[in-house]
Amino acid sequence: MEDLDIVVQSFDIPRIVSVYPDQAGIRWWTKAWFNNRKDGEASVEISRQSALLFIMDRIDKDEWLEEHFPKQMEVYHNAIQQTREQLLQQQVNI
Amino acid sequence: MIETEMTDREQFDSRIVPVMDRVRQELQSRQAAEVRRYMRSPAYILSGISGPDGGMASQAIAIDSLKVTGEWNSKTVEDYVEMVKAELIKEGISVTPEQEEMMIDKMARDNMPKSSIEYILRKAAGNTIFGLPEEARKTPLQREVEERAEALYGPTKAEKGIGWGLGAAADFATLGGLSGGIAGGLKFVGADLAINAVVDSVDSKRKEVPSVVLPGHEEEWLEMNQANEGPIVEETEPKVSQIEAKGEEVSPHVNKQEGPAGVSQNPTEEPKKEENVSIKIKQTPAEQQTKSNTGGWQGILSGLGLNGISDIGRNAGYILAMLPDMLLGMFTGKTQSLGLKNNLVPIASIMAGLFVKNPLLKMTLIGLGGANLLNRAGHEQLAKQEGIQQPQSQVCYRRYEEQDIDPRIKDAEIKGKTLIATIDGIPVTVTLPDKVMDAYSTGALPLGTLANAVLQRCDQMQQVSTARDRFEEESRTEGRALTQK
Repeated sequence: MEDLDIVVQSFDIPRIVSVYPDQAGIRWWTKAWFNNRKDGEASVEISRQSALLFIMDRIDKDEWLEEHFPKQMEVYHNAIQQTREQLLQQQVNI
Repeated sequence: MIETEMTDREQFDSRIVPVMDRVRQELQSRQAAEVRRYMRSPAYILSGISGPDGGMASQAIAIDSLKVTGEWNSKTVEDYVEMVKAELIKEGISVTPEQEEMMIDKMARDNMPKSSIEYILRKAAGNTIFGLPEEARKTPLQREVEERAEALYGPTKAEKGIGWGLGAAADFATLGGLSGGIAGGLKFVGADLAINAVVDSVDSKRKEVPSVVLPGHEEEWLEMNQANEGPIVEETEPKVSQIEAKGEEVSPHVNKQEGPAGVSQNPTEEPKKEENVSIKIKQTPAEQQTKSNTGGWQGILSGLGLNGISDIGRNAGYILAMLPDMLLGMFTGKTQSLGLKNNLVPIASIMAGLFVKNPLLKMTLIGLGGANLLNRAGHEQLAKQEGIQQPQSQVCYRRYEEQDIDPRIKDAEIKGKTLIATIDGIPVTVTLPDKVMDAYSTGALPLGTLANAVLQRCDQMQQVSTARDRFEEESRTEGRALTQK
């Protein structure tokens, strides 16, 4: 069991999230890119406080996405679930 | 998933169907040209000289031989599918298993009888001795297409009966049976109809049994299949597809790339190329075997209950030596495959052979019935012999204790050789070695223990970071205004 020869593959969907301020550093926004799409999701304005918490890694990325991009995350969960079911189905067929 | 199906269907309708039609037309015109060429050849013309029937039979045989030796006339349905695929590749289309299934469906629809008359004539033609060479030449895919076409048409019992009756009447007339009088003719047609009806009812049940099931164990398989409705039926699908997702391996950079706070990346950076998902069909050795020229005989042999008769031929010495044991086993119940319930057709065939006066028919009926019984009993005997040898080669695995699954792993499930789970929030598939799967299936290795071992291995793999990952780590130390995860 020590030398377990396994092949691990992820079927996760890439998610990139960013926070950025205006030039004066007063207003802050967050933007997300799902599945490596060129055009990201529409920016959402956030408070400076939460932006700082995010920068300090006090908030989990997925929690952040669930809060600010709930619809996209719902689609993400559905896609992962469907892929999982498909993979299970294929394994049954094999 | 729905999007993919839509795309497959759209691509099939708009691009594949025209290619299929074009290739079929080309193939048909080439076959016609080849027949025309052959009919003008000296070999064909000379074959018409010989024979008491004015060369009719020898010319028919010559045309039949063209269907085996001709460049275009020997093309099977499988070859046609390959030709379509080759054309599609030229156009930059790679056929997915779903589209291949659609192709077979289309062929079945094209092949569907359009009227009762057409169905009856086809059934009658396939049911005579004249249809025998054609039946023997049919490939598994062609049979599949024809079966689907018949299922799509949904013939009534009357249509089936008339088809069989016409076929039997044609056979009777051809075999010179009219000298036996009308009563003899009715007997012949009646017996043929009865045999067809019995075979059809048995066959409809047997159709679901895949050829990999050891002959003589079909009933056992059907019972098991009924007990586990669903999954096992899908296991029997002849075509097996596998997704090979060139996904990222779970490695430190999966998390780090999407990174902890304080990391700055250019949000306008070009996204990584989408993961390529390629789907390919894996052929089992059995399928590859059916591609050979002898493949066509398999259908007729299995139709006569002689599936795998070559095993008996190879082990003839052993089977003959065990024959007394098998016959004795019939009365003691030891030879299970020779029960009356499972052997109605071969026993009926032998019984019919005993009462038939025509020596040719007598020999055929008794011979085929006997060969069927010998085949079944022989396979049972061979299976018993293998069963004795099997435990000796069985591997004993060390038994591991059941462990609670680590909370980092969620939704762990094993199907086939793959563990599908979410590790640290990342959905992954883990392909496991055969030995591990064997140990798991024997119950020596519980799921919890296995999943924890996989997690441990994943952690070890993550610790081995590459120079690239180290570079990423270093770059993260630079403070930037924009933060990205």
